[in-house]
Amino acid sequence: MPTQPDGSLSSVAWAGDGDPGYLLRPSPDSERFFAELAAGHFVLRCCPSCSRSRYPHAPVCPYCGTEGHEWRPAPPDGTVLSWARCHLEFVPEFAPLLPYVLLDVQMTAGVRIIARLAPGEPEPFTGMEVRLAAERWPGGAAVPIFVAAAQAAE
Amino acid sequence: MTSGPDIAIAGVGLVGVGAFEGESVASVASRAVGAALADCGLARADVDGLFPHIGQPRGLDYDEIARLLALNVEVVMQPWSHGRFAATVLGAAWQALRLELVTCALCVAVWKPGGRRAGGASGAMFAETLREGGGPHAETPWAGAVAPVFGAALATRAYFERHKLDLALLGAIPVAQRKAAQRNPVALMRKPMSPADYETARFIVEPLRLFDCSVPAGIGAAFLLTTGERAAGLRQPPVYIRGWQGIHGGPDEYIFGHPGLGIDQANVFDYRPAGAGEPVFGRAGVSPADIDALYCYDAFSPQVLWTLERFGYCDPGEAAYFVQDGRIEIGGDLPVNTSGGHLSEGHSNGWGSFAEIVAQLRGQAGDRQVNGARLAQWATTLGDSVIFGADAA
Repeated sequence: MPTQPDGSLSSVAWAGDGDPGYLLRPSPDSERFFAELAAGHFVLRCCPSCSRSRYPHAPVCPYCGTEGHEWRPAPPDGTVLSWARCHLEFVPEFAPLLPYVLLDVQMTAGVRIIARLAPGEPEPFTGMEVRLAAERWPGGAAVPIFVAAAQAAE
Repeated sequence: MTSGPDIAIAGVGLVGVGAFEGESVASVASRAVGAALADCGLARADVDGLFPHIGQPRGLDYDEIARLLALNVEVVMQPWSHGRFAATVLGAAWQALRLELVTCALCVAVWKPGGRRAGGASGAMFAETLREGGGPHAETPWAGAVAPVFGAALATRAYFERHKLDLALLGAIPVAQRKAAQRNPVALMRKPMSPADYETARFIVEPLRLFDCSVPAGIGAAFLLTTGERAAGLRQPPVYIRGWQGIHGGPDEYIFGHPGLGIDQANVFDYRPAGAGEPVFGRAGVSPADIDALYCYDAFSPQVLWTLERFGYCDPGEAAYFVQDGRIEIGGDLPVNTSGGHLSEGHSNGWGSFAEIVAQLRGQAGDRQVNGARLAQWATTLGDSVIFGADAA
């Protein structure tokens, strides 16, 4: 699935057990990010001075040191820098997903995002083109997850 | 080195690495402190500075240690309860002695295991994992990455792919450290480990296998530091703190990988180690070639590679070859983690290695003894380091 016609992110259904909602604890700095994601939008804090985006959602630009931020839409595209596959149950809600793949993705927006590769996606590799999607949890929360860009374009 | 008296470790009490089931942490601390005092002949009343590492809930906080162990101290420093601060705690004691704020500093490394699971004890609800900006090892709980092993696995793959290395090279590290642990009665894991045992072990977080991950443990250890002059008049040969440098933080720093590898948000760049240019070497008046044995924070086996590369023993990508053919074993060119380290002795947050360094530099390491060991280095992937010497500067 490509990005939706209205520019919103594609959705991935939660395939684990129960609701892992307790693992998501938005802070005053990150709640906007997760709220926008639940609404289908990928936004990042950007520097009002040098315009570069940052992640995590820090109060100061890590590049130029300017305080303050503006939330701006960001392209959901990225490239896999590294990946790992979890074989051990650490969290019961994730047990049905084992073995699940974790990606470290260089986003075209400049930041890196660590998130899972969605279930059923092709075997990961370094350099794989991916696209950020919203994984929808039973309690209504949404978190970043990646899908293969090639598959997303079909 | 900057001015101030020479400082030395005068006494060590290591009462065990393990779970200490059925014993209170205060009792373990009491035994460790008693053993350190007996080791060097100092008295409880001599101690005027207290430097505990891990506090509650696994260990004891400074006020409990003072109250429960009948100590009366006037300088205290207790960091965030995280393993990385071993050299920071030792360094705080060293600094207080150098500044002559105290005359006898007690470092307490006593705590119970934090968990029983390979890959990092923390768990999903560990406070550090839930930090606002993410965990210190790039823990991302909502992605199922709730322990340090996830970030270590990402860095391991990036490192081996970046430098076009075969992942099988990693096995030489746990195998070497297990061989050392077999000579260490304190070590938790002493069963022989062959290269085949390593290669067939299950994945925890691929590409890291069970034996790439440290053995969860507690420790009971205490260290007494004083001036070199005073230590020389006590029961044991002094082990001098010759040089120290602290943990680095900033945009180039991520705990796993050599600098420049660029995991999590860390910058990507072409890293060349400063080698003897690292301040710790200048402060000690030595270079990497002078070091007789190296000790590092080995929560995961690849950290040995990244430490070798950070401190100039190898260029980036070369350490995976350097560690082969017994080179890091006792009797090799550069023995590494000769107690078995976190991978086999048990995850003591570095203090098992400090005790080992003292034993080695006193010439008391028995059949683990590195011949002619006069200088040993502790170094980590966060950039902190201590150089210890059997001789004063």
